[in-house]
Amino acid sequence: MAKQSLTKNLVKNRLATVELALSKLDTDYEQTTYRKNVLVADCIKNAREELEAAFEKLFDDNLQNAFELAGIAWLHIDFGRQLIDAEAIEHILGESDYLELSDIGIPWENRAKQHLAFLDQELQKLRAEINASRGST
Amino acid sequence: MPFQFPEQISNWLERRSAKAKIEQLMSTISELSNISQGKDEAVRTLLQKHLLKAEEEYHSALVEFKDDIDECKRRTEFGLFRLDLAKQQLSVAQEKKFEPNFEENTPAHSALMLSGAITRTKMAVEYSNCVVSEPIRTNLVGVVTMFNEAVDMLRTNQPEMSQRTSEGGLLMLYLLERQIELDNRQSIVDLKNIPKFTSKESKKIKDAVDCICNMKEVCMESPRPVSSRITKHLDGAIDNFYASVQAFVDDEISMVDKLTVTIRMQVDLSERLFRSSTSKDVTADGAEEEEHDNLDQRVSEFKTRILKLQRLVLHRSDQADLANKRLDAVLRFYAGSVEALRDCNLVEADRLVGGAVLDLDFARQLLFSKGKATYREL
Repeated sequence: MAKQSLTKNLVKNRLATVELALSKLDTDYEQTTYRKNVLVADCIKNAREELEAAFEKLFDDNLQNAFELAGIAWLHIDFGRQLIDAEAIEHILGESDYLELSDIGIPWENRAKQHLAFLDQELQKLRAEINASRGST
Repeated sequence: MPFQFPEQISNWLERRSAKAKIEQLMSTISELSNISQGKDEAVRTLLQKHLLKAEEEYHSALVEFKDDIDECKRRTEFGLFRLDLAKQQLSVAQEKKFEPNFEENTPAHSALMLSGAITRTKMAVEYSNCVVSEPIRTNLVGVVTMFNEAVDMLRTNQPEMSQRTSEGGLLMLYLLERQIELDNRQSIVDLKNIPKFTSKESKKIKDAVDCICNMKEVCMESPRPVSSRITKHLDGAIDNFYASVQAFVDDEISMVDKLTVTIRMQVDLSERLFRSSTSKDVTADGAEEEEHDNLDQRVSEFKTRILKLQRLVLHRSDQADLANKRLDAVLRFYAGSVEALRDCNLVEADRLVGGAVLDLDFARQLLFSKGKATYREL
């Protein structure tokens, strides 16, 4: 990230603001009853780790590093916030048919059933082709 | 020689200063504990977290007070530092001016663009109730991974690679959005959300995506079935698109050039084949060869699905081993049936496809039914 002249107060303010945004995201996530998106939980976890590291750096007066880590935490928080807001709108206005963007969210049974359905369909198609060939001979 | 306190007095002074700091920590904890009333939940939760951690520091400081005065001081200062931040949070709660604001064309800004584009794609798909196939969904998950990688690269001080990864993610998203539109046979306005690409290479890759998707659209709108030779070239072009994104991320510019040229050649070739197939009748030999190709492709896809399913159930289902043996049999029967159909041995083809159906049902029972699996007439 681009270096800029930093004061301890500026970094402290950024850290305070970012951590507050994280707390708001975390509170909203905990209060969400209709869907617990794993991706949002990951964003919260990643942001928390970055912020904890930023906090230590600031305590050791490593301002640049603390400032950058707070910015990285913000990227995670912003993504999590967008996801949770998008799903809130889909829940209220849509059909609660969410596009799952993480692999953990789909149980293996459902994925296995999708494969089985494809195989079933292909066997039926082959059977129909054999029967059609029989009819034509 | 500068004046020095005798060691005993010096120790006493240090302890007195440490004790004063511990008391200051305790009084700040009590002061802040009363302030949290009336604040909104997020602020209260955060304050509680800081208070808890500060209390931990306080207890540790008390323990260290007897043995290690330096560690005691560090603990106390860390606790006070934490509470100082908490106080700041109470005052900035309503202020937006300290939120990070990344300048355009910086790696962090690119990562922000990518996360925004991912969310907008998700919203567009959800609002328009589009169908997203599993391979496309898997690739979207891949784009999310690219976002996480780009952010991680910022942390590990690889800004240029981070920026290229974000831009690569946007390119992937561009192709996936166009594929979603093609699959759903409709233009989805909300899907057109990819920001303009800045580098020459990413523009080239984006143009290549347009070439591929425009040709795919032509094929889909064709009233006649499209030859598998045409789709094979287009599939090859898509594979090369993924390779070109990887080359772009790895900063292999000459490889990006080569791959985008290859993509154009593949699309041109498929276009010429398409034109010639619509301008004249396909010869009997050509039709037979094409049917042969189609069947080969179907067997290959069937095999891929079986292998994916076997990998998926392994270690997840109690009866996975037995089910996987039945799935091997399904594949054998299916491939045999296709071969018999090619040889016009219809009785054998029918017998074998019947076996495949029975074994697939048996495998399904092993995986999902509680009772004993049996062969059922279907």
